[in-house]
Amino acid sequence: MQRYFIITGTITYAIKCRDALRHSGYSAELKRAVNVGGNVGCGYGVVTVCDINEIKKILSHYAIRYLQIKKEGD
Amino acid sequence: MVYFDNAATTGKKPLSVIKAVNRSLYEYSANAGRGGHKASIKAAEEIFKVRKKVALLFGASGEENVIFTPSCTAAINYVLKGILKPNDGLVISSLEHNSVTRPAETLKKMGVELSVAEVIFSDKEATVRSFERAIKPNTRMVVCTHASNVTGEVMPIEQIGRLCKDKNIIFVVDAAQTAGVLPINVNKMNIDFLCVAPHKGLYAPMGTGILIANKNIDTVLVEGGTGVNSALSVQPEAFPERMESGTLNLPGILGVGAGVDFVLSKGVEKIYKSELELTKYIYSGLKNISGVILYTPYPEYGNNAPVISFNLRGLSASKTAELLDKFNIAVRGGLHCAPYTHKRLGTIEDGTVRISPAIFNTKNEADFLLFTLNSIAMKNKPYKFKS
Repeated sequence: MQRYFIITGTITYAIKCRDALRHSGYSAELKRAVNVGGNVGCGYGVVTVCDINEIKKILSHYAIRYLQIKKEGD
Repeated sequence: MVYFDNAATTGKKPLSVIKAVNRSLYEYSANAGRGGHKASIKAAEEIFKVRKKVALLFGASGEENVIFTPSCTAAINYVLKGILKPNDGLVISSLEHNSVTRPAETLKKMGVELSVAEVIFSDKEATVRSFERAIKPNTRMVVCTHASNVTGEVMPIEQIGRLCKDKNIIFVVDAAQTAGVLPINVNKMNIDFLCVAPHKGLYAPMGTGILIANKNIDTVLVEGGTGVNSALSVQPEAFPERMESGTLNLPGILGVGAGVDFVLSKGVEKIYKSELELTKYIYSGLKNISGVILYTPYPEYGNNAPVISFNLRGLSASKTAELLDKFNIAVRGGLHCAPYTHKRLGTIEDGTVRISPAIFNTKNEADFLLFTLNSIAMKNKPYKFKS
């Protein structure tokens, strides 16, 4: 499976996102995001290894706001 | 010190709260939600855990709805000044603290139409009717204390919440005196904004406040660094960071978390019952002291928070408090920052003496308070010839 970086912006949503992914059985780690999401500046996100559709399903289920999902390494 | 000024702030904090504050400085001393290093992330995670506990305690939809503020007063200001615009109608109760009345008066000068709903003591239905009468077509917000900090009168929050929901009006509750003492569920009670003073009923450190926000706040009063969207010149949109500019009070917030744990371990219901029993005991004792004028009714379950206001005939409220302080008894004498209430009670010139027990107070302490008050009253007997 692909490694993704889910950029949530705020640390609060990053933690919610990480917990939701872990609760769904996926590994997930918090990571600082610098100058991402259309150059808006710093923020936070979560690195996970998961199917992109599954990620979107989990984020939607837990009502987690995010700015962008990037393939890690892009 | 026998401390009966818990309505101002709880005088004794649980050891677990003190330990949590200490631990925060030993183990998590970093700027939460700012850096990418482990210490910053760990600090942010600890704060998130507290948001989760607070959300559960007050029935908030999510952790993001829990905003940490420097005080309950700051939370109230954020809401009132962040939402209301000229020509909007604002209804407040006649028992509000200056934390509500002062921003309300400032907004009135800026064109907000301010109305006061008269609280009818010990008559919840009549009080709700007062709110109904005060609400006008342009009313955008209703602000109501959950319980008076002077009389302990508990307001019919659920009924007022329903009224606001039916009329699509923003409902703000000042729970400074009740959070941790009376059950509160923001969703069940239709509360849009709940303002909390965790250093009181949640036994947290002073300098902490909580705002539970179920609606957006258009204008953010305090802008600045949030650790997110830092290249932009505007605040982030997402709560709670939108409202939390500046370095968070990590020791205070972790103290809030320990305070919530303490309250949950005792049980809100049990705390209320225990405090109310002691309040009743003190009330009955006060009635037997010659020269005591009581301004609060006999405390009843569900109708009163653990607060008693009284005066000793012939002595000012501040003098009575001063005399008690000589015996190492802490009570509050004066207006308690609630002039509207004192106008209603007819005590605006001199205020009242307020006794407010908390979970740590004992019957022995109450006996010492009553004995000392009786002694003061006996020494002050010439009052009999004054009137």
